[in-house]
Amino acid sequence: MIVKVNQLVKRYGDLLALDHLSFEVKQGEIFGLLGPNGSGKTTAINCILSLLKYDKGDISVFDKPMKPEAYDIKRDIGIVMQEVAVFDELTVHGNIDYFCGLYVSDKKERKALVEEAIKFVGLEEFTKFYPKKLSGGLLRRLNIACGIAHKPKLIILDEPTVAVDPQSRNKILEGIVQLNKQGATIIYTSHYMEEVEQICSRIMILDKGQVIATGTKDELKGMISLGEKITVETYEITSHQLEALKGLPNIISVEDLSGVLTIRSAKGKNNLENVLETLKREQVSFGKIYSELPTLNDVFLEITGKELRD
Amino acid sequence: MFLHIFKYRIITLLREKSLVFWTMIFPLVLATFFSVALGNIGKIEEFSPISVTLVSGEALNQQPEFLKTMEDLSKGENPLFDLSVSDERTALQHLKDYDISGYIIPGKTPDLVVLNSGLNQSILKHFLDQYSQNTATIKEIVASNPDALPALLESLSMTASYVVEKGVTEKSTDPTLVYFYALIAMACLYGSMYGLEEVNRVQANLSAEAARINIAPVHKLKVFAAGVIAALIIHFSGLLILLGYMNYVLGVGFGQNTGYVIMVLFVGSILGISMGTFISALVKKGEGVKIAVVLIVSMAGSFLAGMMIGEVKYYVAKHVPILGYLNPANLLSDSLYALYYYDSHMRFFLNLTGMSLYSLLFCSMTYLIIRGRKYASL
Repeated sequence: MIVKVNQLVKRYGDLLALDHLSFEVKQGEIFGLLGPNGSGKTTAINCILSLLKYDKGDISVFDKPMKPEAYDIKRDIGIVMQEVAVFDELTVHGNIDYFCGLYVSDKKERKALVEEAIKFVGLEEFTKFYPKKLSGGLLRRLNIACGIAHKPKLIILDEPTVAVDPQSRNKILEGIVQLNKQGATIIYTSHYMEEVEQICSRIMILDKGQVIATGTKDELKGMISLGEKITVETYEITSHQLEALKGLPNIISVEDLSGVLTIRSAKGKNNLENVLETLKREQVSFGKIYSELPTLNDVFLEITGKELRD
Repeated sequence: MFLHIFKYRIITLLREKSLVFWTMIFPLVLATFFSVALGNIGKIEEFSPISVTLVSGEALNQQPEFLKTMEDLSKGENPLFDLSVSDERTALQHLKDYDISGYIIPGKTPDLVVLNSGLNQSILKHFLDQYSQNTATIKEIVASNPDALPALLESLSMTASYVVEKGVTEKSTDPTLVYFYALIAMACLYGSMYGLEEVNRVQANLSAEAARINIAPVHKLKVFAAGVIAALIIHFSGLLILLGYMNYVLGVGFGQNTGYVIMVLFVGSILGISMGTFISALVKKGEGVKIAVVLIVSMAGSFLAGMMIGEVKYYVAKHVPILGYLNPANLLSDSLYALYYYDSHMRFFLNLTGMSLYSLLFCSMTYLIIRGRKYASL
């Protein structure tokens, strides 16, 4: 097991930030920690890294107890923090070399690793730039390079795509998948469900410091009753027509929000077909109709009763 | 590893513009201002010859000894007068233009014409009174008792001083040195900015960079030690540059004391940096609050040590002497004052010992506070 967290409890005064949190991260996984802001993702990461004191529980990394002085464990961990953690007074190259030097003493080996990291994040043209001259996306890439240059076996990325343009975001996500293919185990925290769905092999959903659900994305979606979400853009709809839709088999709910109908249906065949037939029969005029499979947001919504983006 | 961290710490500290400004540039600028301002103090005390005009004409021709006396007093290394001779009309014009302090119309009793009263005019009047009185006395003696003339001339030429100038010590006492010593002391205390920065760079709850360092497989006290040594080298070098600038560019002489001043710079630099680390470790607030506390402590200490108003130091020493011994800024400035005032170095070394003990205390307290390697919150 790469990481094992058992019954972890962390309090900030009266606030219970982590409530008997337990999970395991297996070798070769991209393990996603998904949850809204304040759900305890970063607190959990900081406890794993032995930065934060915790009230109860055990943490082991690479099957050894994690402690601040566990340098043999730390040597194989790379961290990409939520906040960009680089020195403004050092160039791109200087920053990567400095942080890599905290792990690798051999100059020759370090030089090769630094160059490889620069190439990996695509900052070859910016090696002599100071961080203040970099755009938000490039800065995030530098932040990643500083965390992975020493080729760690476990890489923890805490919301690495916050405030990043779509192009840089894709580049970062592709890079994470590539690092995983090269053998690194990844823990990826985010409140962007699309990212987690896109790259994570297993996902744990957190809320208020508690584990809500854990599994692959399909397993998570399988946990809820929602099978399909059908959206219809209507011009006008009467209460009678709405009642007709609600009366269809498998329908969980029908919401009308300024002419946009959201029809949630349970798992089952012909849901879309039934809705279309009813709209035709009831002579409801509509512009657009489309069907979506449930997302992780729906999973979160069904379990907690609130949106993941709240 | 240590050298790697040390090398990058030197680079980062030298590139921190605000640190470089306050610890290196600002003291140099202040020293230059001091030099310009204090340089004029000596000039004000210097005596300038009094511009005076003798009105030419028959009366002057009849009194060649008066002209000779005036000319003699206008020559030499420290002349009393800056003499010119012209007709009365020109002299009056010069007087109106404030080119001269007054003009003299020779005669049996010379007349002094001035436009206003002042020191120069008083000196001219006193000179003419003295001259007239002596001339009359000599003429009287020559007429009544010529044998007494040699004794009279001897008594007139003899001057005696009944006051002997004696200093507190045998050292030369240049009053402007005190200000430069105060400036050096202040520059030493500015080292606390470096100390503050070093703690911020290793405490994971204070900066993201520090959090990243704490996650690395390196003891944070090793990172801290490398940073403090780098800061000490840079700060001490800055102080040496300041001393060199004062000595060689501004011409501030430290005489036999230069070696001792360098010693103060070194211990003072350690004191400043360690004070900054202690305050930074103790105050559990943001960087802005810490900087404010460092500045308040430094400025309050400096004020009580008399760096702004000299009398405060003496007031504290007289009424609350314990405060003087407990104030690190006072120990720093007093070690420099001791060099300035006393022939013996006992007080100097006592102050130096006090500064070293304070540094040790600050370092130990900082260590006890920051040695913890897990944080309650980040």
